[in-house]
Amino acid sequence: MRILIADDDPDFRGLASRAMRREFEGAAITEIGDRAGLDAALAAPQGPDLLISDLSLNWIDGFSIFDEVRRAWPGCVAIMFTGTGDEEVAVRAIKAGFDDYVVKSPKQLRRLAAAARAALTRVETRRGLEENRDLLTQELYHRLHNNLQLVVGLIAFTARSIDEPVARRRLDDLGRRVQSLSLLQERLYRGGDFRRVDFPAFLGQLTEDLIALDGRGVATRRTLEPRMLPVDIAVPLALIANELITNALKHAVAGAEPLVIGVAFRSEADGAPVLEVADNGSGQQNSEAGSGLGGRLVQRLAQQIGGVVEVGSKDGGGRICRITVRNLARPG
Amino acid sequence: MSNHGAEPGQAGLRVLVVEDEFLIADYLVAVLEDAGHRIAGTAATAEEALAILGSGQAVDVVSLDVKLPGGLDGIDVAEWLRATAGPPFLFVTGSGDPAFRARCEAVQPLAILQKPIDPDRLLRVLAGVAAG
Repeated sequence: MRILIADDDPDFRGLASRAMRREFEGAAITEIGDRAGLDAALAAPQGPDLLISDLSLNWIDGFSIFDEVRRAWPGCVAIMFTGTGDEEVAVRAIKAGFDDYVVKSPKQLRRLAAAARAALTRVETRRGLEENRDLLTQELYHRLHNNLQLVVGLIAFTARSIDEPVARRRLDDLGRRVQSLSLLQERLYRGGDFRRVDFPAFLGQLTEDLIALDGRGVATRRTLEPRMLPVDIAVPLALIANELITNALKHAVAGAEPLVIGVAFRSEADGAPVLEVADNGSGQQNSEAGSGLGGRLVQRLAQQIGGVVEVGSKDGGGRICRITVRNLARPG
Repeated sequence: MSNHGAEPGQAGLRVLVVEDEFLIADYLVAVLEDAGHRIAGTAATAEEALAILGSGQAVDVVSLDVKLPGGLDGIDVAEWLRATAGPPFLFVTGSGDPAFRARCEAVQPLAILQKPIDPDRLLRVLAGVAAG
């Protein structure tokens, strides 16, 4: 337990020190009466647990001391102990982040000790709750991913038990959809911000995974501009990307040229994100982003995020599919 | 070298699967067997895994779930494998906690695969082992 006591009046510093020593046995107390003293305290390798500061000192005010100490040690508990303040100062102190305010007088020393004890307990409780929250988040995350793994496993087992090839393929598609959502979920957690996700990083990973799953070693051309997307846009767009890339791989059959899948993510001039999946395949052009379950999913999910779907043929064979998310365009 | 020196046969690698969720273990086994690997054994706890590894059973690679019931976890098994120059191992984990990940990385696994795993990525890691 380390305590800083900042006050110009050495008698009061002494009184406060004694009160603190009585309350916190074995506490290391540093009295600060001038700039050099404060600088020495700030340069100490270990920060204080508690700061007790007067409001008006000849060389500084209590708010500045508080700012300097908190900047160095954000966790330090602080109490303003002053006789020159009024209600307004007390409110200002609490708003600035002091944990308590005690009117300075010899009779109030017992109150100062109690206030210090209470403030430290509060901070400890808060830290404990934060730790608990972190543990809980990790536990939930772990559970979620274990359960997603169970779902993927169950889908795979079911697929294996079905002889009919079309039904089996559909279940494999389902497994892939769950897997792509899991991949996004992982990005979300790893980014540390639960509201935004590094979408191009996800897209690069998804492309790699789907190409590997395809097994033909199809080449890719990736153009991924960095951008964080809000999660309510990222989830539907992730599922759309999964459908488009899977579809490109299914329908694209290599012709004279080796097969290349292009995956691009960029922003329009007005800020609208654009997802583009292209292939140069010569296979039957299912120019439906609209028929079949995959196509329906793309249309519905695009609708949800204000996405405009464009499907076109490329010169020299192949197909390009573009989703422009108008919901994220700047109003012009 | 303990017991992983033998060349894997045509039938692929002999994999020890350590995973406490039985269905997930079954899934991993199915993925591995489909790809032509063999299962050296399955263990639901670190203690079971260590018993198999200590029994002289031939194991080419170990797939380790990190969080396991009981006193020891997957990282403990990994440390034992490192200390005894045992077969190489990879982690399959549901945890994304960065501190936890750092602990996993410290024991130098072949890979850390996030659940739900991409079966292909698992197989690619094993292909790397088979290639030496």
